Amino acid sequence: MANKKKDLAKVDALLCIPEKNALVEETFLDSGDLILSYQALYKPFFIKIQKLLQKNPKKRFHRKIQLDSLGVDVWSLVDGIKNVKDIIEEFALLHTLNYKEAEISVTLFLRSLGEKGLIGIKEPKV
Amino acid sequence: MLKINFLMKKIAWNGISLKIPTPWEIDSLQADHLIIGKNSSPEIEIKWTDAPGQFTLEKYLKKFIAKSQKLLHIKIHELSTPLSFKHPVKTFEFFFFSWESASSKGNGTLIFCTLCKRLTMIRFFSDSQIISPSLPHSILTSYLDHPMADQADWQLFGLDFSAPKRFKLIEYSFKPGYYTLILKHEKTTLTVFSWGPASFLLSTSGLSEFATQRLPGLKGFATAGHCPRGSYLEWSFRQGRFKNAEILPVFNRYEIFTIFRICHDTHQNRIFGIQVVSPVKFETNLISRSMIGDGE
Repeated sequence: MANKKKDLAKVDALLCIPEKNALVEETFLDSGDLILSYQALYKPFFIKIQKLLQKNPKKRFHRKIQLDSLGVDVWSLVDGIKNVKDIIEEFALLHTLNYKEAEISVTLFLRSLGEKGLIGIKEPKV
Repeated sequence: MLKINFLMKKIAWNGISLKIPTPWEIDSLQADHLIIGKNSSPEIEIKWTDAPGQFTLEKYLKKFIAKSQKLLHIKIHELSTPLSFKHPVKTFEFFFFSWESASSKGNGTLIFCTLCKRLTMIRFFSDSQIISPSLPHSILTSYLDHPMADQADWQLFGLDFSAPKRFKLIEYSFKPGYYTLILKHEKTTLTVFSWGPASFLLSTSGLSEFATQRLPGLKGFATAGHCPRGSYLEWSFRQGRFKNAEILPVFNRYEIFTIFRICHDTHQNRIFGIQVVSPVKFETNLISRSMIGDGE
């Protein structure tokens, strides 16, 4: 059932501003897809295995993810100025999507980018 | 005279329909429950239920109010009907109330339809009076709890179609990029599909390839045509109830008839599909009168 108090947190989240990690490298493919390359940390378990096999284990490795054209559109809307709501609205307009549909897609996508460390989220200036 | 400065849009879902301001969106959806909000903050909640076979209205209302208070953690206080309030549907009986919870309060109404015996609770998340002219008043007067014609409208999340009202909702799914609604009457099943955005989904394949990917059971060839929404492809085929059933003619009587039409709506950037499965005949009427029908 509806809970006004709980939903206010969502309103605040939509006003947050995503910003790209400056260390992410972008490579566009002929197909229009985009490869994002970034440094990721090995999990402690793998570092332990490496320690058993070699003297100087690497803590980081290079990781790549490929974005399709929809992902590229969201990625290009992340400019450190637009908030999540602005990105959703522009994405919905760009693809003639219903706002709710765009909201779910974009927020899930931004969350996955955030989990990988490709973007950070900053709170809006008061 | 005060005017309502909102563009209103229609929402129609599972028999009910109402008009809400264009910026409002459905936040939560169930077969008999809707929460509509603005900027993810609830504005209106609608819950409806059909009356049991035998009942007295007073007891039924008391039970419904008690249940709502418990479920929603709210207190309901009865209000008198606003003097200026009039609804175009004469079979509606209204019971106005105010409600309050720990964090918010508002007004609302219970609507009982003496024709279809459906009881609806509409709860506004604002305590503005339901008087004419006001937004709550406009919303309430647009509310219908059952279709007024043979066709029932379905209008939400960009979907906009009607189906014979005898078809009842049995399953639905609204995932980003893929909506399905399954309606059933006796043994005939009507499934409505919506995929989007079409420009992305059809960027590497044609409509025919897309259709066979999504519905691998399609048989035979597709016929092409044009409807007001755009070009379509249509498959119609009959098949046995089980594998190789067609070998024995005695099983022919148990065949099922399937029609599937898929259309690329370039204006809405979506792909719409309608599938009708019937054990009796090819239900061409249901397809031709559908949202991607022939527009006659």
